[in-house]
Amino acid sequence: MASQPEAVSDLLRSWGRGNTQARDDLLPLVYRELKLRAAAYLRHERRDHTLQPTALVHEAYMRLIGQERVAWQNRAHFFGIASQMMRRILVDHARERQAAKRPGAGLRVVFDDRIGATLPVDCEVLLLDLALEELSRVDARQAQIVELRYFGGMSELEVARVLSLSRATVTREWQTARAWMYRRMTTGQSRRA
Amino acid sequence: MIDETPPWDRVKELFQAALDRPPAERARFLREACGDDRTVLREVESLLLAHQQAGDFAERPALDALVAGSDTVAMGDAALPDSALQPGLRLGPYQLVERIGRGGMGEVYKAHDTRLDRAVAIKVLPRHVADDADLKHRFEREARTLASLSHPHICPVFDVGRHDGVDYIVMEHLEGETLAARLARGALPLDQALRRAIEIADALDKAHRKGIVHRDLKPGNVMLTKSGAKLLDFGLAKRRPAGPLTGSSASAAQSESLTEKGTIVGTLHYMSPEQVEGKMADARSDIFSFGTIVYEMVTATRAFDGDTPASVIAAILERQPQSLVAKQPSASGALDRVVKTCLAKDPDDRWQSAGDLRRELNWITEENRAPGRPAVQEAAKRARPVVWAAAVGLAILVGAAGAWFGAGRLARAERTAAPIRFAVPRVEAAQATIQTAGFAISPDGAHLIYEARSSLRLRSIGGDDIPLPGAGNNPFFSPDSQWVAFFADGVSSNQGLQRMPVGGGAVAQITPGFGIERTFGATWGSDGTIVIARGGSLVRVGQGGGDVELVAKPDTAAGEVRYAWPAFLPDGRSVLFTILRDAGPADARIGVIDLMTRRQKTLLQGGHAARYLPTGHLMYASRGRLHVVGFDDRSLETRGVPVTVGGVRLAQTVGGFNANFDVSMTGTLAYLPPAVLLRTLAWVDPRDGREEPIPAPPKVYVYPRISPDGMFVALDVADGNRDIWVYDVQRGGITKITKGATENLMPTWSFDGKRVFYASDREGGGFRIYSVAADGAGSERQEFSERSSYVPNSMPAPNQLVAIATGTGTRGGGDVVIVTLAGDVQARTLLGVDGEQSSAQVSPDGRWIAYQSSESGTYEVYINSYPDVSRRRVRVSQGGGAHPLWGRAGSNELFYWTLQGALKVVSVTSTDDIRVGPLRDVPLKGAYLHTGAVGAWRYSVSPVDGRLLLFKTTPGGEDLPPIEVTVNWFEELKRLVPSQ
Repeated sequence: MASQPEAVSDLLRSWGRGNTQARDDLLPLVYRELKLRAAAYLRHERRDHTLQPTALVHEAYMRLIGQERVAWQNRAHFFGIASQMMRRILVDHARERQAAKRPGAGLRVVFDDRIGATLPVDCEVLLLDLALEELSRVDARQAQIVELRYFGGMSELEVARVLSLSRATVTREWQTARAWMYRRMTTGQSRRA
Repeated sequence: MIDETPPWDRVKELFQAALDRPPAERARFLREACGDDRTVLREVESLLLAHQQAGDFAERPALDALVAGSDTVAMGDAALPDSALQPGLRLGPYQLVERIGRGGMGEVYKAHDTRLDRAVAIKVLPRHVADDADLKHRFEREARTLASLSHPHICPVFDVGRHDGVDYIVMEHLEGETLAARLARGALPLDQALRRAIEIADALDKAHRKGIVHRDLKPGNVMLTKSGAKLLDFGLAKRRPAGPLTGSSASAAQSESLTEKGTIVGTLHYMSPEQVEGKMADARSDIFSFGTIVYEMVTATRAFDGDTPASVIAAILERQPQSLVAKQPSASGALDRVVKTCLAKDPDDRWQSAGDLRRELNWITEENRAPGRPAVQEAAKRARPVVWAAAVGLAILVGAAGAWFGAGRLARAERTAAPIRFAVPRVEAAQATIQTAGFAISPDGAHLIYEARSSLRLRSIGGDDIPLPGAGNNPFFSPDSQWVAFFADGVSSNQGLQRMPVGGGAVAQITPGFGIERTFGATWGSDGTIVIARGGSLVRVGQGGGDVELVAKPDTAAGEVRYAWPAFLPDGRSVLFTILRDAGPADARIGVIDLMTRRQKTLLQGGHAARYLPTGHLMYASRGRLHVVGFDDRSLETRGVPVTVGGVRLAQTVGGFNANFDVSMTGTLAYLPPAVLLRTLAWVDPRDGREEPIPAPPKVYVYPRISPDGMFVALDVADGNRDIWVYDVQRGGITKITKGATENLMPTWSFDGKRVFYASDREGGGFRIYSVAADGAGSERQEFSERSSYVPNSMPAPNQLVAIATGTGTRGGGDVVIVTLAGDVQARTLLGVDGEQSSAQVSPDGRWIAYQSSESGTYEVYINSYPDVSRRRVRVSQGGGAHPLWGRAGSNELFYWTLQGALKVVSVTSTDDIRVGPLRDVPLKGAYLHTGAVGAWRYSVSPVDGRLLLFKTTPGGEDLPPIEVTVNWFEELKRLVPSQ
């Protein structure tokens, strides 16, 4: 039986050749890997300063693929689904934290009545996820960029390589997406009476 | 209005072009670029504004932000000082005591005024305000105006100053709580609410006369102190732009941003329609906001609410709040009218000045005090009987449901309303292998309708079972329970949507056929609209027919595959539906769409087939279980944590995501439990249909293969998970030869008959090919490790395996491949034509390969030359065929099943070319299992004597279990999810 790193890079290659089943096979592997690592961070077990959480997707890549040479297109595939998985993991996490803090209350924004509002990080993640869902219907590419950057923790340059776009395009699209989501999230929010 | 969305490509292009220019040039650039197109201009300007405000919003990746452990992020507050100023620090004559607040508008400290020896509140300006000379100038001027504005109900500004680069304003230090904090505990007593309203109206009147508009009036900006209400943040850094906002200069937009900065989240609820639309706000906008505050003070509920910005906007722009009196019976009609006038959508229809408003409120207060008016207590008494009436109504409904069970049960239902469980047997129930809404319960709980093998059957609960004319699928009821509608099945295509009265009567057609696209549920709204999930999209049609109109289709770019299981919400315009995504059923989501605005949003993830329950919950299925979660049908938002319904297991079908449950409005739950399908084995002579039973125990046999010497049968048996068993034809014993808790399925004999090849998912993520010795001795070994799903079909030569490489989750089949097992193990695609190929077997003489393919749009059986498949190809079946198998060597016969379940045989003369003789029926006499085109071979042909091995369904065994029904199930729900 092939070792794990080979298996994952094989799947990546197979997917790169158009085998969509390979993508389905890849998902649980990547998800499990990311979830384990994210959970460690989120439990504050990994507070060493040598590894930043931003590097998590890269770490997972190194662990699953190793140093093997894989075509960039296939790496791009990987980072794409990894970011998607991270989104799911982090949104679930934020939702759980919210639920734990306020049992029985759904998503809720905390108000500082004296002077406007501050937004708990959990809420930002959850609200951004919702806004992103909507953005994906307006501009799928921008939504993809947000997913890679915000959830996948990738830099603009990396996003540019993953999506085969120029860096300038990524910057412009990111700015637009950010403005769009910010407006979406700040022009009103729920609170239960 | 909000539905006029300007073209996104244009907006984006202009936004990005504007960003490329220096800020000072942007306004002019946009004016010129947009010309008369105000919609686009407004949209781009609003995005630019958001861009300015956004600070470092979302710049820090989510994981970093979560790990950093900071509890809050101040949205858009890039410029906010990171660390609080130290207590004890002096700003001019003011000594900081403690920080009392932090937010978008800066930080607020309690401080001591050393000159006047009094407590003050100091707001430290965010740097982005302080750093902008023009902005700061405007800000100071505004503060000076306010400082001159002395009013008992406006928090006064004492001073504006700058110290060591820190800009600040000094205000009165107020002791008390905000109105928002007060409202969190409930409504204000009516007399208090009126008093506060008059104070606020008076403050507004004074400010408006000075030309200052608050523009951000909300409970959070009203302090309740011993000396009454005090308005905060009144006019601070908010100036009316000289012209309409959209045509304003960049600096005007920046001054706008000051307002926006402080009102990050949660203020939309109190905005006037014109503010929501980005139009100019004036004094009358404050009056609208004032109306929302009074409404909330009296009723403790928001006048306009919703959980997404979109739904709040929709409420503000389109809806009328429920009348004040309905929410709070002690309120007077006069107050209701005053508030209604404040909340008029058109500013011209509102009170035109806060002074008028205050006078009206004064008058109402006088009236309230006057003797003779119905007292508050009396009104409160009125409210109580309403509650009782509702309870009695419920009891009557429960009684009505109970009446279907005869007198004994009726009495019990009335007395205790305890849940009652029973099973409704299904007459000739169809096997739930296809994803369909196989049954429905009427909203009044009186009838069930379900798909049976050759017809739909309508059953009154506790009563008779009536077959409806013709076969149909996806039945559903009208909201008044008087009609049932369904999709009539034709021979090969759907014959359209039909309806008939539940009480009996003629069937009427609503729409003609839709073609062969599959239906995934339908729902009938109170206004006669029917929403159908067809071919993956949502469409609508009137109950009287007419055009079929597209409502929504899946966004494939976003990973959506199919929309399914629509279900109306009680508002009659919103529809719940399931979004199936490409990651499979585990990632399915529940969405809701507003049929009027076409706005849709996702409510939850990892569930499907949601229904609304009148108890204020959603019920949905996930992984064979039912779940319930709280649901606010006004804001269309789930609340609380989903709870699993204990004791309920749902039947799951291929793909795992159909709607095998339904709930009536009266609280009757009906669901389909998983089936156990016991079968026995039989030999059948294909010439005369004579049957010889095989003495093997009844099991859930799925897939048989007879060994090359005819002495053994390898069987794939479902018993928890699937495993391979071998039946010894001579000795009669049956032995399991695979182990483990994973799925081991679809056995194929090796060429020499010594081993059995099969597919297993023991490594997860798809099926690989393994083999094991036919007697179970030795260990199982992996034969082919390619990381994709492969299932073996047949072995035409040593070390040569015909297999199927399966497609993605939503497709059943795939391509036919040849796996070479010796030397360099590899797979080669043999038949990669369009559609799904499966059940491939090479003929005994090794010259032809038979298989089924969906290439033509329906499943047909084909024969190709072999190994060069391109030389010759013939279609064997006519009008649909599946699962071909070659007869014994030398017989020149090929068997296959029609999609209707008949077994056919043809003679195939094979020389260099191939000739297919006439089709003949195999005269089957018993009830044998076939599954249409899905799945795999459910029979086998002996290569030695040509006998057929068929699965015999045990009496009643293929009928799925009865429908489980629980009446008064809401009682159980109450225990499950105690109401908040």
